[in-house]
Amino acid sequence: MSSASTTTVRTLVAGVPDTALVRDDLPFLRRRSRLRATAPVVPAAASALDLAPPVTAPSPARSGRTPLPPLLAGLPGVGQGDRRLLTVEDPVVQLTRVQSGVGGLRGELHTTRADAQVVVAYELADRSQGVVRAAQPYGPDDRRPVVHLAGLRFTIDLRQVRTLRRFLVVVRPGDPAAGPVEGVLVVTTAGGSRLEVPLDPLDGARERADGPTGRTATVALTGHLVRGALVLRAEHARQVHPLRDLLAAYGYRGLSWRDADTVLAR
Amino acid sequence: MRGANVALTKEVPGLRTLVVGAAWDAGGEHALDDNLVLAAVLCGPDGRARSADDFVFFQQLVSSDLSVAAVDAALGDDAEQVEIDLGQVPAAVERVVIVLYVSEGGPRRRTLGQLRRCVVRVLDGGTGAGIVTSEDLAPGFGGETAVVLGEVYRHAGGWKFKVVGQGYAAGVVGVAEQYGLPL
Repeated sequence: MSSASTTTVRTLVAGVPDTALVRDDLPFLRRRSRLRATAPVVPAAASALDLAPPVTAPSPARSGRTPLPPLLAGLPGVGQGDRRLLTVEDPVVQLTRVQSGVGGLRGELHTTRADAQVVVAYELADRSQGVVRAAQPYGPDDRRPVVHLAGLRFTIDLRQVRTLRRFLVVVRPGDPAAGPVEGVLVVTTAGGSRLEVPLDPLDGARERADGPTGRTATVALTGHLVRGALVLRAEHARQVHPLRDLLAAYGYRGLSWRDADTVLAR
Repeated sequence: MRGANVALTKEVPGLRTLVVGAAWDAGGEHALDDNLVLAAVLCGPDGRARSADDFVFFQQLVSSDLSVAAVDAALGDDAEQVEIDLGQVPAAVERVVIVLYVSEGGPRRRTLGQLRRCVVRVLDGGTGAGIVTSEDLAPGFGGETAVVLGEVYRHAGGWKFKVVGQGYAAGVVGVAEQYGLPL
């Protein structure tokens, strides 16, 4: 768990495009120390007559039972049934382990654009990567998909969340010449918590002036499994239309492409 | 039988660790088999969980007090098991509710009514000896997607187990509502 979490952070950092702003608003990206399970609190200066167990005593817990590592500190959560708007100023939410494991994490794009597309890229615990889109709606397979897509709705099967490392949700126009898609991506948990990610027309204005042109795809949401809990972040970022370049900018470089937009299915 | 209870610590003096296991037959229906989850809810005297930490399942393998743990690899005929270290259960916990539910995050919806067989049993965790096995609960299931299989609860200074078999059409969300578990 600990090494996987650390690597997740490292991968994310490595995947940040050169043109991206420094993400000093992500507390969990700054926590790169090795993660450890919490040890029981034991008095440090136990005397010979002290009945407290010595520091070296084994835990009274049965073997194999170690406390779960604490979740990342300082990240806001979302209560059952609550609604939160994930804005540029307040883009991150950390689910509880229960919210991260019960039922499905469902997303739906609400837009008036008829040509809008939703694409979900994912990376599993075994480092394999994949893309779910209209032409390939189940990932990694249709027998038991971890991610599946139906039109503008996607679902992440949280029964399999332990096999997931991270995912990324892209919204883009069918016709890049028509410009970026406006709308709201609504993500809900089994307990009815509702996260709203506005696809803000101003997202494009935050690009660096010298960045690549033709950025019509919106990176709406990323999710990372960190210490057993999903950390979701509204990215509010525009990227180029071809999926190959867009996903490479976020560290999804383990894919084989038939062309700039089509992943070779496994 | 549903409602039947067994005085565990009277039947097995010195009982320290319990294993509660569930065994089922999904009739080869992998979309059901893959998505069945055995879970435990630690409840206070008011019959409600104190926080989300009181839910033990595959994604939260152990309670914060380490008293209740989901077993990663179930032994014997059970598909899944929960282990309870009775001596470590905090005094504030009056009962541990054992739940079986169908996780509903996949594209294919299944219900407990499709199970051909479902039993819950309690073992002595120290010796592996069986203490009690329920009747087959499957014939009582219909469109429900969650069932409270049983409860381990304090009684007269010891512990008892009761077979419950109460189904929930609203699934684990309905169970969570019943036991005050925040989702």
